[in-house]
Amino acid sequence: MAQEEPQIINVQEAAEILGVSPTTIRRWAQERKIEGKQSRKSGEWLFTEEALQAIGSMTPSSNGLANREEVHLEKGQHKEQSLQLINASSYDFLAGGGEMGERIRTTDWSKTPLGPVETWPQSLRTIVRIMLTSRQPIWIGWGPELIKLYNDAYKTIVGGKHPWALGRPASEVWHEIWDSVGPRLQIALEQNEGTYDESLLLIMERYGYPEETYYTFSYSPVPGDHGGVEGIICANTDDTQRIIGERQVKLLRTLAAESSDARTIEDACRLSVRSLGFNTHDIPFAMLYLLDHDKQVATLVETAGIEKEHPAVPATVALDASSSWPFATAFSTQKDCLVSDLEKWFDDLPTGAWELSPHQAIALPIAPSGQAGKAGMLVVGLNPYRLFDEGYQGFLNLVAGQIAASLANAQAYEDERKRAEALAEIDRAKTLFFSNVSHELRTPLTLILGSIEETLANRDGLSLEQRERSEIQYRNSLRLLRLVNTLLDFSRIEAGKVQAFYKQTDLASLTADLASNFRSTVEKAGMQLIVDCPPLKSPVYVDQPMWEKIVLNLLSNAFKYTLEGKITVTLRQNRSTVELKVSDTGVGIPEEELPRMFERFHRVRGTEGRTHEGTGIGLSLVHELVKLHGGTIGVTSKLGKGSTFTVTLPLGITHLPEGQFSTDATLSSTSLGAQTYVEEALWLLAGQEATAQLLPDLALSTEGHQSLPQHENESVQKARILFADDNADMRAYVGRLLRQHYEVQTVPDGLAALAAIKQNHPDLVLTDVMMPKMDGFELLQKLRSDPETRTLPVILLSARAGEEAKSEGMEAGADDYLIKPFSVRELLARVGTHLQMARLRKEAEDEVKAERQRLRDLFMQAPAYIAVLRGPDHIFELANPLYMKVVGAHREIVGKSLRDALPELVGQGFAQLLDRVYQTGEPFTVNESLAQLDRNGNGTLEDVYFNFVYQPSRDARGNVDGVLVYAVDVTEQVKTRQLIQESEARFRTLADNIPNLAWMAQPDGWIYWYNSRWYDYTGTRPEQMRGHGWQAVHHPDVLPEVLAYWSHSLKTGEPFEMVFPLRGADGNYRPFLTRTVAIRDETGKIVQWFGTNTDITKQKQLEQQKDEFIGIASHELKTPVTSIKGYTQLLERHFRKAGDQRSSDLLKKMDVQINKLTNLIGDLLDSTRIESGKLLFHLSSFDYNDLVSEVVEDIQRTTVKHTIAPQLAPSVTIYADRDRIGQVLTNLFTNAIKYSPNAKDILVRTEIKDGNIITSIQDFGIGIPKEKQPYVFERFFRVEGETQITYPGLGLGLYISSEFVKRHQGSIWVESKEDEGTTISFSLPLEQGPVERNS
Amino acid sequence: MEGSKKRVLIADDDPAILDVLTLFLEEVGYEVESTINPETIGEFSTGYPDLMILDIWMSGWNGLDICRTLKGQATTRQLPIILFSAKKEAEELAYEAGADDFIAKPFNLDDMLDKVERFFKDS
Repeated sequence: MAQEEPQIINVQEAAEILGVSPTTIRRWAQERKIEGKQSRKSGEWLFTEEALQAIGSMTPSSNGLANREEVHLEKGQHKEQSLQLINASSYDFLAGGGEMGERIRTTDWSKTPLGPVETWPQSLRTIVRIMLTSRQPIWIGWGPELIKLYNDAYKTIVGGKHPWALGRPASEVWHEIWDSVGPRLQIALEQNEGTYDESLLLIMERYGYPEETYYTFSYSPVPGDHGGVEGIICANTDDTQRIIGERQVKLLRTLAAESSDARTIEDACRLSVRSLGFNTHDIPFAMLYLLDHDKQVATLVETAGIEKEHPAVPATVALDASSSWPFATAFSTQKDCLVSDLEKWFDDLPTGAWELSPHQAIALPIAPSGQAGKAGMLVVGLNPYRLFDEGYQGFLNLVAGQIAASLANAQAYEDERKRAEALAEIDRAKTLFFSNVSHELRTPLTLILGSIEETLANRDGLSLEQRERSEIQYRNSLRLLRLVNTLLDFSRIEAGKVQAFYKQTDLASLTADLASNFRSTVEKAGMQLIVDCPPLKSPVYVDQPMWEKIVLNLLSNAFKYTLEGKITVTLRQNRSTVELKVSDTGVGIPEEELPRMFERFHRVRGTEGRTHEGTGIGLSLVHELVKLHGGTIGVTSKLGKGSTFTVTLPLGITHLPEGQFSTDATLSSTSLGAQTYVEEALWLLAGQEATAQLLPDLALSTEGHQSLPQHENESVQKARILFADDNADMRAYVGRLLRQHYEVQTVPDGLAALAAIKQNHPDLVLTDVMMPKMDGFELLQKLRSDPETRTLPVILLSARAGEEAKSEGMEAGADDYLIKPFSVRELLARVGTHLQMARLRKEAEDEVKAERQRLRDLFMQAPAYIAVLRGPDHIFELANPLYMKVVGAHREIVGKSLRDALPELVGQGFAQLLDRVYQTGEPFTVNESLAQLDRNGNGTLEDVYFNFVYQPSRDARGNVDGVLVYAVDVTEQVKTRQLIQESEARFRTLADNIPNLAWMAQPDGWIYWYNSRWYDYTGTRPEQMRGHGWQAVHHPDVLPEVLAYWSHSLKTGEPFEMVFPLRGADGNYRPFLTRTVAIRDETGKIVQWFGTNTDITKQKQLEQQKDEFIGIASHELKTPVTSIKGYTQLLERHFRKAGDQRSSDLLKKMDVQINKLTNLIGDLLDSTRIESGKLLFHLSSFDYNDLVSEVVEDIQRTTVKHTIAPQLAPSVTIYADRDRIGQVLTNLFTNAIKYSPNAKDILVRTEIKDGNIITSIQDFGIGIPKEKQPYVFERFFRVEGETQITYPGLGLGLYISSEFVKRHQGSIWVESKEDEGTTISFSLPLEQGPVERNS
Repeated sequence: MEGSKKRVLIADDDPAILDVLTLFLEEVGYEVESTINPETIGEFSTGYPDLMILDIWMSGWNGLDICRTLKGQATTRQLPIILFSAKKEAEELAYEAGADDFIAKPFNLDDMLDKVERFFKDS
């Protein structure tokens, strides 16, 4: 066997032996890694066995070769055994490796370019082993096509492409990012160089949408068994969450830092939104809107990443369904609202950091802080490469929360600034209040005076004594009227509405006459009145009514302050002036007070703080009146000795304005006195108040027909009404009214009513409250406890006025409550309404039954856990299949109570919650509530987290009769909650920068952080304050209230707003306005509380002053009312005794008017507290055009310059507070006149639209700058003239008007152009909607 | 009661109110003494009245103080006092000062009479 020929092996065979691909063999041959010869003919390589053995020994394991030898040498003897060996050893490296190990093992690799597993080269086997045992995401690409192998950890990276990706070429799997990764793989493969990339952005498409991802990864070339790069191995780190998280945190931090400097809402908006522009990845574009005060429209304030002029950015968005942005939904639910398919709506949306514009946007409501806070709406275009998942949503909610906090902060600043401005305006505000109020007071006063006059006119029938009484009464009424007129005069002077008309006057006689009016009073008080007014030589021109006011005020003032001695009135002529002196021997005025005597509302302090000092405007009025005469007023005084007031007027006419004086000597001068003073006052009154307005009831009773709701057709059977009242006249009267429309039965007491109801089954019961035998309440209670009459509508009638009486009636179960006296129209309207409601109720009951069945069907198929519990014991009436599954399908629960059906829940609090929902009728929502359920019936409790709602279900009458349980399983989501908790750190940054005291608390109220200002002010240390330590700086008297209120907020999540004192480092308490808002996560759950405390010492003092003033004013008004009332009653008694029924009736009517007046004084107090929202409304139905015409007539009388041109729609009847709406109109007209000094016309239009009556008042005056328009309805807003003209007014008119309109469920708005004019419009609903009585 | 009329002392700084109350109470059978000058109250130069009706905020004098003083002296403690005021809020203050009753202005004469008569029912 010498010289045995060497065996020649071709490429195929060599590949087989070495276990590599034929391509590799050829490359090795070219690279001379393997020795071989190339055939000249075919160009194919040929190798010797020796050469192959050489290369085989070089590779770490030369199994292929050895095996081949074995086969070769032993010729099949052990073939089977050998194959088994091959298999065993070749699958070793695939052991374990989880799912992917299993998949790789079971894949038939022979059908892939990798070939059967046993043929895989050792290097591949090694790296596969590494891969399968690694917990880092790793993939391997092998062969020229880079066939993909990967491990379990990598599965999340291929995502939706798993397991399809296994065994596919890498270029196919990652075709969407091949541009990025292809070249890198090429470097690894061809240049045998590793690559490394950190956090590379890759837009992957793993779940059917392109997705932003960041990976740190390396491609390492892997040599085959014979050298040369055969594949790559890639280790990955997923950075997506980190990158996104970091940039989100960065944005939140920027947002907090930037917006903390904001001092105005606008600033806060601008700075916040500008910060949003720093993260164009997550926020490609954003726009922020603020909601108008009346919540009707949202106005754009700022954008980021998008032009303000872009079609997708409307300047305003109406809060109704009409807008392309879903503000209405987002606002009403207070939840964010997603808008999809943006490209369908808008072209050319900005793309932010991306190449693609957002497909989706989200509208996020910005919660307002406290009552006065601004609500907003943030619209954010969403990253097109990111799923809008909980994390993204959570982030945006944090952004919205941050902006809300910034706005709240800015609001606090603005409020403070406005309060400071308000200080300057406050006395004007008072003036306006009095103007409003005086008008209202004068109405009943007129009626009173009218009655007395009527009595006095009939003086022949009166005894001397009666006449005296009437006259006293008359005088007192006049006194009251004078007081009211003073207030009115004052406010008119303030408003510049008073024009004096100067007449040549015998001033001496006039003054003497006026003064003598006081003689009897002064002498009665045991004092002396000296009147020294010799005739004057030169003519004096005065406005007589004004002069009377001057003299009478000074005299009454002197009288007030003088308890003994004398009062002296002197009139003297000097060279060019006339001088009036009123001196007294009274208490005098402290020296330091003298300079302030003529300031408005100034009252002398120090002597005795008592009501005697009056409203403090008398002297101020005198001062104004004297000024109108070109004169001066002065005072000298000595404490304890007395005071002298000196009025000096110029003689002649040279100082008077042209056209306002008359040189005709007036004849009336000598006869001027108290009587003419009265007549003048009456004339004034009669001239300004339309008489129709004074007698609303008379006017109404004639048109009662029109006001009937169109619910009953005459041909239909008449509804039947039972009326119970013990007063026979009342029965006759109301019975007659009702019989025009209904069948009426009347009974004299509750017992009779009950019997009649049982027998006749009326459709409605109208009953008096106070009745013999059985009163209205008892009757009501009897009716309500009988199932047969449980739903019978009952209207109570009572003479007891007031909200308490009314709510008492409603609580007792009455459907309505009418207060005597009521208008015919109101009675008919209410009766009609309730009859109709009763009919609808019955229809609804049937509907409810059908609805229940439909719901039941729906529930059974719903993809949530649903059960219906009936009755107070929570008996399962229904449980859908999913519910059964979650509580354990083995149970039978329907028909059982909760306690019996799910006994393991006892003690877990669910029964108590259900009780509460059942009792209060308020739905209850709980998130992430833990329930421990025995689902398998073996006593083992399993933890399940639910979000659930307990929704009360109601019967047709609206009474709760069960609870609907609706729950979803959130066990998984509970884990994700940690994300949200990170947010609190971000809020701290913000809060540390604000000027108020600020703090943060856990949802349960445990305070864990204060800003440094808190510690500065209180002088405390963190360890003292932590948790509930804050109680130490509270005043012990107030603390219980604070705690009660705070725990209420904690329980309900309602914002906390309260003023309470806090002790400073100096030991003194100062009042702080504290506002707290709940910060919520995207599910609405409170994650923490954020609170601020603002020092309001100044405001407090101001408020106190005001309250004091109001108290005094009301006392001054009530005193004369008391005596008028007394006289009236006394007189009435006399007439009654004397048998003069007519006069007695008149006086009774008058007593009613006095009561009205008393109520009005009460209203005055209420309306001055408009800020605290205590407005009372007196609703009635009335003809709207009548009202407009009346007001126009009134206003027209006050202006000669302007002509008011009405264009009124056909009249309608509205149900509203006539006086208040009249006041709104008056305010708007007054404004129109005031702000159009150079125009002639004022237009008023009414129009009926969408069930509203819209009234527009247009002037052609100075207009309102656009940027100021949003604020015109805010308190103390005033329009500034350009040319230094200041316009009088205090900025309360529009505020009050808008408040009135809003309380009527209406809206008010302004359109204006500078120098062209302003149109203010308001709409009122036509239907008789419920009007807020209080708020 | 017949023969010896009960004596009521009224003080208020408003002459009209004094007038009307005087007329009324005299009409229903009381002897009334009224004063616009409360400083003299407490001197009782004409002997003790059977009842006093005092305004709370009078010129130069405070009905509350008068009430408090009278109720604090052994000799006058038994004197019934009704305070009245235009301020409803004053009611609490009135009782604190020891007043036996309170009535708010404006009032119905019948209500006032009820309150007055209550003090003489037993005697």
